[in-house]
Amino acid sequence: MSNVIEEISKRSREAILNKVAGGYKESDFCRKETQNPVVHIKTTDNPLNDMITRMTENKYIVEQCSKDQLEETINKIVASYQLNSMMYPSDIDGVIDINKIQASSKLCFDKPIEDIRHEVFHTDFSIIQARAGVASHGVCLVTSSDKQPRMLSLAPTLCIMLLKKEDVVPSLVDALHLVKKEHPDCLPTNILFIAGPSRTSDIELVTVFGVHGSQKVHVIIY
Amino acid sequence: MSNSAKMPHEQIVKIKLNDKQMRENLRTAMHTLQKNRLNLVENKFNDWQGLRQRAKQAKNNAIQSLGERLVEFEKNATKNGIKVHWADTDVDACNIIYELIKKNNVTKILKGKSMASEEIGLNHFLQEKGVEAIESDLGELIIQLNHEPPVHIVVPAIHKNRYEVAQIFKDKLNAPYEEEIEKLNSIARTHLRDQFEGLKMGLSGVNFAMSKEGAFWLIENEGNGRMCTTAPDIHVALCGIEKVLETFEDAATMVHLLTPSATGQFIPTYNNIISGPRKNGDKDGPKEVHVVLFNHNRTNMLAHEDYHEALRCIRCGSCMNFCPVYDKIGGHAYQTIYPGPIGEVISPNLFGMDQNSDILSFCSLCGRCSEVCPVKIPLASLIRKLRANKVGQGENKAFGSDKLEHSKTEQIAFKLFVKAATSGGIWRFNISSAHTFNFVLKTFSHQLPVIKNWTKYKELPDIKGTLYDKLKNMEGVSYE
Ligand code: SF4
Repeated sequence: MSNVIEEISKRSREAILNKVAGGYKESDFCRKETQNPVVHIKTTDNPLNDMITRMTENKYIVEQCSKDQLEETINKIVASYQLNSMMYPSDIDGVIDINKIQASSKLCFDKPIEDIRHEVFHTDFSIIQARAGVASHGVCLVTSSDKQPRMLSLAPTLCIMLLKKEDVVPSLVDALHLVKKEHPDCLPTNILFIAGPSRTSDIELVTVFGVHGSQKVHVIIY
Repeated sequence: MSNSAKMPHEQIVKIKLNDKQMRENLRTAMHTLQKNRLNLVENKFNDWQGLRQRAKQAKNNAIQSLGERLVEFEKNATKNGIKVHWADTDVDACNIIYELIKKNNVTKILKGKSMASEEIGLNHFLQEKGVEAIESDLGELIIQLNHEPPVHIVVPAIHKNRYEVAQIFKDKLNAPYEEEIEKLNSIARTHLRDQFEGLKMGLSGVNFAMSKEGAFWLIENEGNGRMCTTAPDIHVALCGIEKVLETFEDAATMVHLLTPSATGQFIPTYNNIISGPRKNGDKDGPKEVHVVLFNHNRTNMLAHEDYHEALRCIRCGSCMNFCPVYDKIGGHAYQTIYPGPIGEVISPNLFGMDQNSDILSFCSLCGRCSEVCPVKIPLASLIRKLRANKVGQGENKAFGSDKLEHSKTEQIAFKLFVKAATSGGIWRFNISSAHTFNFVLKTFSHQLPVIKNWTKYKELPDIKGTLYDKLKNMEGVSYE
């Protein structure tokens, strides 16, 4: 690390912590641990339905099928957009038979992005596994790993997410606790809640879809 | 913005009030945002007020233990492989970022939306050193191309309509003139796509940091933020010290309120939680993640018995969406990075009262901002206290107040107002005889010291009968 950075940082750390110690103390302040805020969200007693309703509001296109119909469902979606090139995570093979997916090219994202940068940025669609769906907000929890890199849910025009119907959790906080439980030593580098396609309302508050992330996002609940 | 570069505020307000296009664009937009928020709160939430209270408590937990939070964040983030740096001043923060740029031989960085970087003047600082900093958020890109500061903290180019944006893209990007918003979006998308592909360094802000996890949470809709934090080799995140909370529950509480308050959006498209650089066999993501924890006078506010409350702000912009002054004059009239009610509180506190306290008059003390603020910052009351500081009153004045020059008349007028407003008898007498004083004021206004500045730009209203009766009969006013 450059000496200049170290010098600024060391001096600043001391200065900031000293000044913070002189912060105003509210005399009647009483610390109360924050509880899961989901109690403030209106929900029903059917989490799966809640999730599907909210996913649809978030502009996900939601489909449901059995596990053995996954390939067929995916092929139908892809054909409807007339897309060609595909990329996928290396552990999707256990869920679907990649040979059955119709695509002009199939790229397994199993090497560092440096080796396949151009392809990653110019692939039409991706298939990924969502770790969970969140009922309260209609979002998918997607975590990065050595098997499922981050760019898969971002760069392609169409992203197809697979979600097991038993993987529905009530709230964002429940989802985060699930991640912590599964990764007790070290969190995944990137934990994402994705609420459908990328969008902007920066011009006249008119929403348009497909900015720098996917333009269409399908979720298949199986 | 330094004082020398500023227009006298009466003048800029007059210019903005006459900008019919901007006022119309803003009026429509602010009404839509207000309506969206109200609908969402109504349809999706149980006990919104209770949620606000929880959010206030969660933020206070962190602010009241900030030293602990910062050290804990540093420890856990470092354990996760993040490099944490500290910057006491705005210049310190700029210098750290510049040193990182130099060390990695980078000549261009891409930025996700970050008000913090606007606050420390990063783009300008880097430009002077020959480094290009490109905004990647659509709204930010539009105003950067047009060399303007943001007009709003959430929707920075909301004062521009599609035709104005089309012209900017035509002039600055050599794009064909397109009036359809979809097409304008696709021009921006294509313009930035190649830049992302070859990106070496990306810069982002931080919405919330979780000290217990050593991780931080970013929210956005476009995917540009994810690009800036995923595509490059090096990611630098700029984080004000007040953004550090403790737990996932704390951060999730803010997420429950932030975009609903900002734009009436239930949840942002991307909630991007970052806990370190590429590791454990990851195939993508930056190889280095740096967090710059910066102060820039936040500790002055922290030490203050009143102004520390403003550190709870989660930058949702709701206070400006509901401000009856903001939508008439627009964010640029404030001539500082943070406009609207929150800007009136934090701009003078961060940059100094001598730099920004003129904007304290852009407020009618109607109190709508305090009512809508999701973390219950008593904005109107803080603005009133700052006004007192501005005329030299108050025990513990905001930073930079000692450099202000006070006019005697201003002080006297304020003292008289406080006296009248806090004494029932005098107040009732004044209000009921306002029409008499009004006649005197109207006749002599051009000669009276404080009033003359006002009447240069405004007609005094006609007051007939007693104002006391009028107020008493107003709906929603209980007057005593
Ligand atoms: S002061 Fe409150 S309403 Fe205004 S931007 Fe901050 S959090 Fe939002």
